[in-house]
Amino acid sequence: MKKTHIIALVMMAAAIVMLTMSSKDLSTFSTFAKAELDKERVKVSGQLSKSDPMVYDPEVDANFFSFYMIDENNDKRQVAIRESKRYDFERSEKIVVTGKMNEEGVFEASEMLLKCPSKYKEEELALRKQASAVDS
Amino acid sequence: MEEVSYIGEHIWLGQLGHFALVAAFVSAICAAWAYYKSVKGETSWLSIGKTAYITHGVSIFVAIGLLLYAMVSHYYEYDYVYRTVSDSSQMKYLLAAFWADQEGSFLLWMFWHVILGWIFIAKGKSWTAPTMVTLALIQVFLTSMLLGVYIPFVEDDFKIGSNPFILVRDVYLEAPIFTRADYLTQIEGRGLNPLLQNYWMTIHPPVLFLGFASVSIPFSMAVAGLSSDKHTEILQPLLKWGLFSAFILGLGILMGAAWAYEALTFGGYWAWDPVENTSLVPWLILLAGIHTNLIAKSTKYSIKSTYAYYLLAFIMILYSTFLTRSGILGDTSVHAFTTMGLETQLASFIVFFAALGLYKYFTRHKTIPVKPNEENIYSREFWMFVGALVLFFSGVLMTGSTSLPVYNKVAELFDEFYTPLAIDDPMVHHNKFQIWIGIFMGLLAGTAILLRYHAANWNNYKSKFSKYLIGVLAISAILTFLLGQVIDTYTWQHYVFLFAGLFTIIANGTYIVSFIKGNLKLSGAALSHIGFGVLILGIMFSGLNQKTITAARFLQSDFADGQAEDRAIVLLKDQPFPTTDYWINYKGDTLIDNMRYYELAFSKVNSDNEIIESFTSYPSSLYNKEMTKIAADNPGNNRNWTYDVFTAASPPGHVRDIEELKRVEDSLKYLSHIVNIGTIIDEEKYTYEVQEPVYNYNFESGDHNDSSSYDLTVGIPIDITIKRTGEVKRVVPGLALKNALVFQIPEVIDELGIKIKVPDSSFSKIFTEEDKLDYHDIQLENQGTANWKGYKITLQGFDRSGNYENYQAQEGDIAIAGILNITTPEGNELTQKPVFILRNAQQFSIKDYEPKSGLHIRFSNIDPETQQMTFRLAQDDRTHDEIELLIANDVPRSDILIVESNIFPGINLVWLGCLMMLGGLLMSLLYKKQQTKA
Repeated sequence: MKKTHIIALVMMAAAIVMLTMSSKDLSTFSTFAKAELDKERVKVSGQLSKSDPMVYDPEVDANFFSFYMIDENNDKRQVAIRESKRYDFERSEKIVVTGKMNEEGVFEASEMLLKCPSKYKEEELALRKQASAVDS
Repeated sequence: MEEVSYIGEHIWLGQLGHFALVAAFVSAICAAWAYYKSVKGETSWLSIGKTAYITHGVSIFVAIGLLLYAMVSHYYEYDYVYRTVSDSSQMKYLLAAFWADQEGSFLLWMFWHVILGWIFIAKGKSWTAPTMVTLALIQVFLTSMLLGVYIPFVEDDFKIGSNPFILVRDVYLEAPIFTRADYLTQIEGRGLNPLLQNYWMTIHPPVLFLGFASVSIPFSMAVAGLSSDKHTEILQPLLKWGLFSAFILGLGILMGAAWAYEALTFGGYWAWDPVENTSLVPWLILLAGIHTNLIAKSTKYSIKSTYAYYLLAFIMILYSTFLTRSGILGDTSVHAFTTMGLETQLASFIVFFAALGLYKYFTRHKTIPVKPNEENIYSREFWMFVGALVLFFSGVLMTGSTSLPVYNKVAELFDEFYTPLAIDDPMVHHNKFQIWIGIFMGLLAGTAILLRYHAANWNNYKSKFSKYLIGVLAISAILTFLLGQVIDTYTWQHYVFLFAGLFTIIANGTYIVSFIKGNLKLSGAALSHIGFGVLILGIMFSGLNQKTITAARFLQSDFADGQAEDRAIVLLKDQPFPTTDYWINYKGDTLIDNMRYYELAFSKVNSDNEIIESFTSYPSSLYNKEMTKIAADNPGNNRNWTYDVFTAASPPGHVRDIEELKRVEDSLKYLSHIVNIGTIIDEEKYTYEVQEPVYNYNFESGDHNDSSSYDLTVGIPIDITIKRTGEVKRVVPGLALKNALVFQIPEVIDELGIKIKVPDSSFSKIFTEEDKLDYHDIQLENQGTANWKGYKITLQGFDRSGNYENYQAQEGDIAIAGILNITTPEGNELTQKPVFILRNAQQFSIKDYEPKSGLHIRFSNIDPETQQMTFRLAQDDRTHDEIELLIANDVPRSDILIVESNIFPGINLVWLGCLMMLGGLLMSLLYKKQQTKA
């Protein structure tokens, strides 16, 4: 066997090992209930509860934002994060927070990922809205 | 539903456009078939192939031209036009809008295939026909994406392609508006997403798609080469196209990175986003192909690998297209298009060409000459080959991780309880692996270039090589140590990475200076390698030394395990704020079109408080079309030679959104005060003293500074005394009248959190409504004078021009204005023009109102016999007693900005490194071209 082939094989093996070993970079999602029990750092995904208050008052603290989120088990909890409120927050369809539950039952997040409807596209319903506006 | 015959549609355009696309599809099939026949030896087919491909190209151009024409003409009956253009769209974003969506970008891609194909045909070399077979086949698949043909009798109306000329009423079938024949007068296009209204959107896609299209050429040529027996003859033209493709695709990716850095994502040129990755992978594979191609050309080793890499590069382009356009990435990428329902078609596109490549490779690879002995370990080709493998390996790792959404999809098919996985932090994940790729590439690119092909004369060369290698290693080690003091190198891996970068810079620099003696024609490769080293330095400096200058300095928070850092600060207008590096002062803002620019002055002072550096940053907010809401924030970017400062600023919620403002307004607790002139309201912290009202007052606060557009404005000056300091501030809230509508002009004192407004009901204290006016009649003949309430009124003559304020002429009208000269009790002269109208034998009059004195004047009758004119006069009751004031406290400030600012040192090394890499490719390409000519 040629040396170059051996190197190629070693690399392919390394690639497979590296990709399988990186499984710890992957995660599924936890829930608020589990986070409460374990008190460990977890990822929770869910939706913004629009009927509950959001707190962001830059005059008091520009780096504090809190809101209520409903996780995938329909469990609603308060989430707090030390960052300014993002401008597209209300538009988010899905929120993924990484952090842990504190003693008061508030989920303290250090990271938050917002999944917004595609940035490249305005609301699909624009025409229909326009149409009903004309009719009314 | 009844058939409606719609008004104003331009159906011919869509029909012609669709016909052009069908013609393009058919002619591409013809071209592929004809070229195939001609390759098989029936040379008469050659000219048919050529004609067919030219027809194909013309058809594509017609389709593009028609779509552009529909966009310029705002034919909103077409869905694509409706999606990408609006009445306010600017011409300069026409092209950006054209390729903003799926169908347009497919057309752009095909456009380049047409151009490249025509170049091939025009040159007419021996490789043209076999290459054109595959290129035409690729066009068949691409054109099919736009066919928009429904296959009947198949479940769910199986659709082939998405026609860009589909009508908007065929998309939104159930929308009620389409019951109206004149629906076109009611709709306006949505227009290009404001985020894409950007010069990058004009230049980035065409370059990137030329890059995509150009990868088809090495693929098609590789298929042609495999089919022939001329495996060594094809190496030269293959290399030329490989270099061209790598240069253009690289440029496209670099532009994307620059755009991301500047606008899309705050503060980063590379985010390991799936779409970024899948466009980088074909480029890496192309580079691997170029390296083995060079080996093959010089040594006849690695011909098979060359074919394999070039074939794979195009397959990876198709894979990237699949990921981006099938919707499978969902929300994991900012670049993903919305789904077009063509997943199956896109997947079959990959399968077909992967199968074609594999079939050709495995049926033909035995015809490729193989050298009996393997590469010498001291030869350049050996280490170059390893380098190509590392590039390929990098692509494998990247593709592996990026395909996670695809595994999830597949796993979901087999297990309905499967929970999709996601990469926690793509940055950490990819960096962890790719840092080693970078290290190997740096070390290999530095070593291989110092070696010789075939290890020629190794016994003599050995000592020279060792001497140079040791020298380069030593210098790199010393520089690594020195630079390590400047860069915050966190881990030993970072040190090794830095070393690899410096090593490749110095080794390749040495090669240019000492080995080829600065011969520019030969230094393309070395220049690219140096560029790679510079890129490593740039990544180190900008990545590791970047910091948030607005971050809290001394704060140790235990919030979320201390993982959070306070990064944003709040700036008050005109109050400089100290951060770690700079004082930042929010000086004000300017509205230009629908962009609001904030002026932030940065200054750095030394210990003697002298300013040693200052600059101004202009972050901005982009409003929506209606100006009711901020759609996006753009950071301000201050570029310097050695560092960039990015500053994001955003106003508070109630300034961003009119809805939010209403909510805040509704939540304010207004206290009502009934006041007279001189009344003093005494509150806990402030006293308010009401002053004499002022008329036709020029409001300065807020956005109401165009008081000239009102018929009447009145302000109630109020002196606010701050009890604690004794300071007095005067504010003037008020009311304004326009076309019989009353507007409130409130005053907000941001620093005190006070808002004062005068309710509409108070307007009757200032302006008396018509039915409450007490009119007094006076009779005047021309040049006659009368007195009323101290006013001296003279009828000076008549205006018969017909151009009177608030008057709209009707046929048969007799309208005449009396010109009245009025001297007020104070001695001021006024000229008023009330209008008398005789319409259909009825008398009307148009009142003239003089706001300052509050006079209402009507011209009510003309007696033709006595020549007596009747005028009616009344005056506002302005006793000013008991005006109502509404005062709210704890009003959220509007003059604040939430600001986050980051500094990126050495970012220009990233751009310089990339440009050098591309420059090296371009130099090699030009040199290769010269060689072919010679």
